Amino acid sequence: MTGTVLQTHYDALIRRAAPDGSFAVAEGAGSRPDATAWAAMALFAANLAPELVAAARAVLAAAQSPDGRVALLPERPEAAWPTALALLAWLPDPARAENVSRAAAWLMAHPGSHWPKNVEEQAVIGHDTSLRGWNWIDGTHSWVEPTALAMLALGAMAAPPAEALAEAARLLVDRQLPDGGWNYGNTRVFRNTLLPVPESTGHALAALAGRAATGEVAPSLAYLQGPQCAVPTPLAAAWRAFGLGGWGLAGENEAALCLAALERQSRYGPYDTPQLAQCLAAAVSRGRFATLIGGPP
Amino acid sequence: MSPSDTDKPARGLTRRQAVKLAAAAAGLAAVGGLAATSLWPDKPRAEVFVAKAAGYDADLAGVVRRGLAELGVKPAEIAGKQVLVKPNLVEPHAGAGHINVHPLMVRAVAEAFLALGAGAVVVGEGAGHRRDAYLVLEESGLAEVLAEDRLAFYDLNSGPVARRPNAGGFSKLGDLWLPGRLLAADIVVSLAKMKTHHWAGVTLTMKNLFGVMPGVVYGWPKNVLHFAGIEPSILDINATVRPDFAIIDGIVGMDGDGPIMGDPVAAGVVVMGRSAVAVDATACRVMGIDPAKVGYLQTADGRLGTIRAARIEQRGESPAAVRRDFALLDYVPAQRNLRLEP
Repeated sequence: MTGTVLQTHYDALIRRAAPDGSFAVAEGAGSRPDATAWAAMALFAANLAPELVAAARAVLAAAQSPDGRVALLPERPEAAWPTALALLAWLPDPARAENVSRAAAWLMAHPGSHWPKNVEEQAVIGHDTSLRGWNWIDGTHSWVEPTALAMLALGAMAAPPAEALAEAARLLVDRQLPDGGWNYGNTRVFRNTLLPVPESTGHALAALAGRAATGEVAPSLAYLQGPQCAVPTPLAAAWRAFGLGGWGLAGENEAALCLAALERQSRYGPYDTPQLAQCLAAAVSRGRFATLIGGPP
Repeated sequence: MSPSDTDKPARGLTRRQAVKLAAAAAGLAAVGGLAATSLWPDKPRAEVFVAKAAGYDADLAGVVRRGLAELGVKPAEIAGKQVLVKPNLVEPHAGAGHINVHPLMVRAVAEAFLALGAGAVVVGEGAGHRRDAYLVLEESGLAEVLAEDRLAFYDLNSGPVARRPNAGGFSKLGDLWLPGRLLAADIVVSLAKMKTHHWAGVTLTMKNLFGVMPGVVYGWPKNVLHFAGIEPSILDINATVRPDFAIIDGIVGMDGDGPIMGDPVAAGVVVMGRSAVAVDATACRVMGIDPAKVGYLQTADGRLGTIRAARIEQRGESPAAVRRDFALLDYVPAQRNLRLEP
């Protein structure tokens, strides 16, 4: 169920559905797999337009390569980060089990670039480069958001890859900043500790829910609950809700912040579809990410 | 580049080590395989304008208008054109104004082009480390100015993209994927902050163009460019995008551990021109840095423009007269031995 205000924004999302079932990345723009996947998840979370959800999943399946990946563009197969999003969108549909299986196999075979850090590198960067997570672009290093999304996807499968998920969790904990929070995935460069941001912190906390002890992430939870993260912009608000929601700490305030972010389109103009859909999904689920993928509400 | 080249020292690290670091931390990679020849038929010359501006409360639009006039820009060149201003908003944090181009500088540039009859001025950026572009606007202070001035903003990370041939050939990136909004612009303005950089030595209008590379294709951070080498990537992007104007906010710059964690420097200047290479070379001289010692600028010389003082006609202030030495860190390989001799 959605309230009247949310319904208005959902209507805007639904208007971006193309006849073939894909979703435009923005008003008047072409379709893209990440937009289609996030739209499917947002609609599913609200129990809206099941025919559009099914069509979106079908389009994603048609875009899946024989090796299992779902690339941003057919001409740019290395940009395979939408694979985890497609997997998430397919998860609630038993008819997509084969697609899920192939996407998971591709992710398992394509972790981020990793290597043991030597003495010279130790002086330059803070994190453990040997740990495997996932990357934005195939062949590059692991970063926080793609690692978190792959963990959410693989972790929700019937038979989660326990060892890989445990290593990815160690990676996220290793990338946590000393005073709490995460950024895109660097902790220190040369002699300066870097600064956290809300959206990355939300990603990491959502993925670590159930995989890390509260004590390991307590400063990060405090950071994400703090005033500096209570900002009504779409990704910050959405992932504040999902990040806190994973730890049972999201409620009306987090949903209200997402709603405020949606209303901010009067200031910024229409959000692109991935941002619109993530903000809608966070608002309607009150930060419970499992609602997007068929888990318990 | 031969296989053995990968182990040659690059600013104190082997190339292989450098590529690894680039992968891990927006790293340092040396220029290699530089087969590209000059894009200019003759030896390039350029004009660069330098103005003093003590603070952001100065008449910055007037400074930019004067600069454009000194560069010979006439209304007929701008009238009716779609101008995209690309400010540097690498990773804003609330209250850290010296990190990014100041919002009032963005306003000044927009006003100056609109005064010359531009059909529209829009602002576009693809922040290197941040996914939430609207939070970037809010934390940088730019959201308020954009709203007041009714300037549209486009997140270059996330919109539609199109493939273009790589006009540089300095890296192994192959074709470049560029934002549709950038390609739709008639005039592109690279509006940078005057900063030292812990991987590239300096980040000015050339390095600023990393921000036009869409994150959906290159990642957050734009790790593909790091793997390809920061310096050759800078050269390829500039050779392909070829910005029409290059402007540097040096009113308050950053030295030391830039581009994010350095210290503010009240350099009090604006530097601008049509050639990003010449503008960046001039800015280096203002910063007390020898442009010939900055790898990508040295490589760009004669290929993408000129860094040679004898070939740059300085308008306004002399770089020497406004020189303010930016602090360089001895423990940062990319900043070693860059100092310009007095």
